[in-house]
Amino acid sequence: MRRLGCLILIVFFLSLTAPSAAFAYLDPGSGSMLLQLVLGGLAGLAVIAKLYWHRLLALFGMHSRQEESDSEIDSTSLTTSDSSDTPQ
Amino acid sequence: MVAPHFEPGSFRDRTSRVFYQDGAVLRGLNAHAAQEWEVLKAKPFFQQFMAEGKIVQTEQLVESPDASPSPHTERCEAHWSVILKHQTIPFISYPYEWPFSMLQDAARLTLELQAAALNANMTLKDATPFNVQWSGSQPAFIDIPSFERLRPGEPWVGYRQFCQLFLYPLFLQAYKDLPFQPWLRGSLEGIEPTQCARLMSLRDLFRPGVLSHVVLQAKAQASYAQTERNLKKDLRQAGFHKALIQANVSRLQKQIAQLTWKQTRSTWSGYTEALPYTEREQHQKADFVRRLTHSRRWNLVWDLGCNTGTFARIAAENADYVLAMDIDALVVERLYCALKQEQSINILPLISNVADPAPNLGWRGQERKALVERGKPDLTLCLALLHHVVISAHIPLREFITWLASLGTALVIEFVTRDDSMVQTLLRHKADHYTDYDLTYFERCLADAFAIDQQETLASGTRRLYYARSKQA
Repeated sequence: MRRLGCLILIVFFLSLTAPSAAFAYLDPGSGSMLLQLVLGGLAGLAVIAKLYWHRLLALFGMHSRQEESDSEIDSTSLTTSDSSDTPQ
Repeated sequence: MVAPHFEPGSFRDRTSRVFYQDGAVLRGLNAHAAQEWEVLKAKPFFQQFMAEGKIVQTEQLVESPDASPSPHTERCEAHWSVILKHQTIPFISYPYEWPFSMLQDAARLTLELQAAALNANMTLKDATPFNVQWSGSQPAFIDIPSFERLRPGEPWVGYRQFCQLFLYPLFLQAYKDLPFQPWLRGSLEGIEPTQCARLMSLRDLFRPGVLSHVVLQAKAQASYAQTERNLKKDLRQAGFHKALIQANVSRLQKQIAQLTWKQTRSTWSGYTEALPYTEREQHQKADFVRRLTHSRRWNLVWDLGCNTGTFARIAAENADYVLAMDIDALVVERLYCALKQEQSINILPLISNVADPAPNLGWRGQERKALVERGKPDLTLCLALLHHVVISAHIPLREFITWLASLGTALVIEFVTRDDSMVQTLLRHKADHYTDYDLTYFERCLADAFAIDQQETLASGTRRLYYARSKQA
């Protein structure tokens, strides 16, 4: 039951963070990578909290400066992402 | 020295490639893969698994690899940095030819290796059943460059692939009693999370692993398919670490171990309990097969329509390797479990329909090969099969005999006459247009393509055995 509750919590997080608009294509395994936070047990919860902290802050009208700078880096690092997602 | 011949199915991972030279199976590694190999070969877990036969026997060639050019000379380095030599797998098979327990055991092996690799700060960068091959009932992992050092903060890249090619197919069979083999034969990348999610009912959501690995993954895939974020970097920055992968792998190991395919009956699963011939005839047949199979040593024997594997076992007494093939998945499942119990290493059980064997698939139709291209038999057993081929599968009798002859094989074949109860059962509800199903015509077809050496009629008089050698051998 506790696991179910945890999963529901994660569904909430996933829907919370679903992008409202999509302009670029990224690795189709992105969702599977994120899911590994859920499947990582208790250790995953701490990482989830950290990963979505900025989003939560934004919800309450408190913008995170780190997120803004991350976004800038993201757009330049797309080409270097995940070359090993090609299974043999 | 013969020029190297590249394995056409070995192209996805650009850091290495399998090729064949002078009868040996070799693998070239580029500079990146060579670095990973140097780390891997020093790890005790790798040496231990190789000693146990769970990883294919592999050695590094000491001579200069200059003689073996890389196929990527126009873009990458001109020569491989390292060349590995692998022990030859007796017969390559694919997951769409395996019964449930074989795919389950291949999944267990993959997770066992991944768990051991993680403990040693390494990881499997992919997780596909095509990387597992068999010596009889013993699975071995064959793709050495799959092992790489685990980069800090990186998730398990092969997790999605593990789900698509191992977990979902097993769920399909265990939870829905649906065969996964046709799906895997139709889709080499396996079952997509969204496809699997659509198959699951409300009841299935409460089965272990369905909500998390199927439903949530499908949801996450849909939500993040087009995200602009570099999630790999985000995860690293948020502190993702290997304990999360270990927790996932550990849970997967438990979930995979719990899965069972509960089917107890199928068309052919009760055949030996209700044999259409007497015990005396069974002995007579076994003696005939034993006499012929012991007449010389065989390299590769095909037993078509093997059922419980009685004759495959007899053939295995004097053969290097036997393929025991049957159309019925439950029959092959039971045979595999029995062979595993016996620790058999020279009988490979496969699900195969003689009227529709595994074809060439994938890139250029060469990535996954047709059954015939993976090794032709020098002896084929065709016992109590011909009437099903002609009457049930509608294959013209002469075409079937000609196809057998084209294999260049010696043949033990049984003709069941129209007076036999099995043939009468097959014809009971059908218009009998099978005029070619006739003993005299069969003998003429057989004599045209084969030299008939021996023949014997079973006690009932309705079944006749032949030993013949292909004229194309």
